[in-house]
Amino acid sequence: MGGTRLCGYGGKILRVNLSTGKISTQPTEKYARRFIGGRGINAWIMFDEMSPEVHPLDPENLLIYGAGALLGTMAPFACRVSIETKNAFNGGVGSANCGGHFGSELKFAGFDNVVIYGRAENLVYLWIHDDEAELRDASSLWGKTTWETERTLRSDLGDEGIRVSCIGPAGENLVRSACIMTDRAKAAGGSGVGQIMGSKRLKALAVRGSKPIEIAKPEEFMEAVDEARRRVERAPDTAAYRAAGYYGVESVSDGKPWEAGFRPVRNGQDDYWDPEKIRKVSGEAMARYRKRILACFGCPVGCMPWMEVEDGPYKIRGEGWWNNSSNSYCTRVDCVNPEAALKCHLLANQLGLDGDNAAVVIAWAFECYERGLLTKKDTDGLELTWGNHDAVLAMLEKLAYREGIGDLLAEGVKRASERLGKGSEAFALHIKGQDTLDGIRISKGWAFGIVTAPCAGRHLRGAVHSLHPEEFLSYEGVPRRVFLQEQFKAILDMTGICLYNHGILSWETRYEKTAAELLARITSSATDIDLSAEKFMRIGRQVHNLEKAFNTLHAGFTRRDDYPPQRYWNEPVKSGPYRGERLDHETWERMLDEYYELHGWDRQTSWQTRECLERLNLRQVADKLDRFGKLPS
Amino acid sequence: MACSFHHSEHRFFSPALSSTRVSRDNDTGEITMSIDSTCDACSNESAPLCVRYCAYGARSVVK
Repeated sequence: MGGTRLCGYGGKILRVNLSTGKISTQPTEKYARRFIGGRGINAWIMFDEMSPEVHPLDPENLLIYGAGALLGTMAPFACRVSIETKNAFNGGVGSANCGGHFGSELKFAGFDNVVIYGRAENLVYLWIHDDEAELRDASSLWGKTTWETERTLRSDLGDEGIRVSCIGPAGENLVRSACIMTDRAKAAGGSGVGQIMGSKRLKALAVRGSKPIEIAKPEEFMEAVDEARRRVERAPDTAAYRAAGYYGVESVSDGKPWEAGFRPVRNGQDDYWDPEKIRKVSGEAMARYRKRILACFGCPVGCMPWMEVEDGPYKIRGEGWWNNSSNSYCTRVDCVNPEAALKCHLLANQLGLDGDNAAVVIAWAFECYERGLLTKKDTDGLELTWGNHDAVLAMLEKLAYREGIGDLLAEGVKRASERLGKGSEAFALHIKGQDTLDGIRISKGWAFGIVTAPCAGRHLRGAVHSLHPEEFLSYEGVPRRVFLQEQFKAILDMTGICLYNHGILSWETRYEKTAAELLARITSSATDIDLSAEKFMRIGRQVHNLEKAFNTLHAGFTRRDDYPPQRYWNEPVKSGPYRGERLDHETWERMLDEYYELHGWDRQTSWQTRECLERLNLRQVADKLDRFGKLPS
Repeated sequence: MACSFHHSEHRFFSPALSSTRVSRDNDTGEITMSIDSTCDACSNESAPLCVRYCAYGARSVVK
């Protein structure tokens, strides 16, 4: 592959043992030519170095940050950091991902990945700056919100340019739906990453760098970047995104975005929401609180709104409001007060709660209350009735601090429902044990991708997204589309390209390969690693297979774990244009057969075969699975 | 970023090599930019790179 000199990287992987305080480095090159960067390198280290018997909250669990290979360059949309760990919900692949400025700053400090293991005796933070890193006492940060933590660290370290990735009270209190919050508003959520960071007694990473990122072939690189920028400027949605942000464009009230079932209503009892309610929190309605649009590092579009509620009981201001925010704090709990919903979103950010996971378990509690399985006695007097936005706000606090019923909800919806029992398991929405926000009854590609993904139940993985009913209602071709999408998504996560905007790079063809070809050109010229679209997709497939093997080995997952929650089989959509729609069990089984066949996995168990792994140059993975008896006979 | 590319003779990206600084006020979300005395208006370039590559039109050349 390529020449001998590796460009485009910070150059080093930082290894931090919190138990001993030992800090060391190794060259990124050891991994980069094979797994490129970000999630790719993280996935390899996770599989290679973790023992199956390690519990997610053991000190031996790894928590790995990986900046995408294109961060710190002018590649458009290159801003994402992947965080991998052993999943706190299910012991399998834990993976979270966020944008912002932290990842680029990490590279400017000379590092591409940070591998954290062990557990500190007392709360610490990791201060990373030009080729150096040190652990510092963080006892004064205990209890601080994510926003307070960033403000304090910048002030204490005397530099407003420092980028901070941290946990809030939720992570400190080992809440399973805790996220790692980066740059105040960029939540790496799911997998319990915040809980795991809390278990390590690591409050934050603070980073500042001034080192340059060298480009291997500058002329070729800028030609490819210019091509990407031309596509951005020609794309029909670019101007709209710049003016109104992601939510302003994707959540207008004209029906389509709200009807496709991505936002389940009342804990997924329905997928259709009253248009009068939609109008109260739609893209148009929320525009009155939007003061400006902000962008992540290197983004030529910008999609993040700065929102302000100027007075009243929900007075607040800060970054972000997304499609999933309107799922979490509106449809799922049937709330229509836009100001209260904004307050929920920004409060969750400060508490360090992943809004997606938190909303799932809170909405489950609301349904328990509706059915009389929980009463005011259980909720400290709170009335968990649909539409009670003040109760949602109160529940976020209870969850983050494990107060009262919050202690039960802090375990995630699967465990909470098992503990409560009384049939509440039937409407506990989780996939592979991980709380799932996304509605999956209507769009079949969306459903199949989200359910089969190694890190399941999260919309950033595998899901094939379309707003065209003739596409999203059909099962036809879904396994192949998911098979391609999961490889392509791995490319995005290895390079750090934002999923939300990658479509702009391929909007003319609506075909991932168009973007993969361009990303291969950009990455090759930046790093001097020889890549084509085909090679890149193959590496994406390797990464996906690494994660699949991790799940088999660590969580014991098999075919039975590739099914959706019971509710989406058993209860059809109750109203609206897709009334009666649900997932079909028999068709799902056929799709699984086809999907496993495409991968070369065993149909009965879903396990990988030695042949498929060796074809992907993953013999070492096959050998390890074999040692643990996890290859199909 | 484009600025550092110019200053490094098209080899590197690094905000530290740039003549321009961008910062955000976390209380208001407002962005401010400044340019220091190391700016040479991209001599040797066909046009100032910050103008050419600013996707938001925030930079322009004042004659």
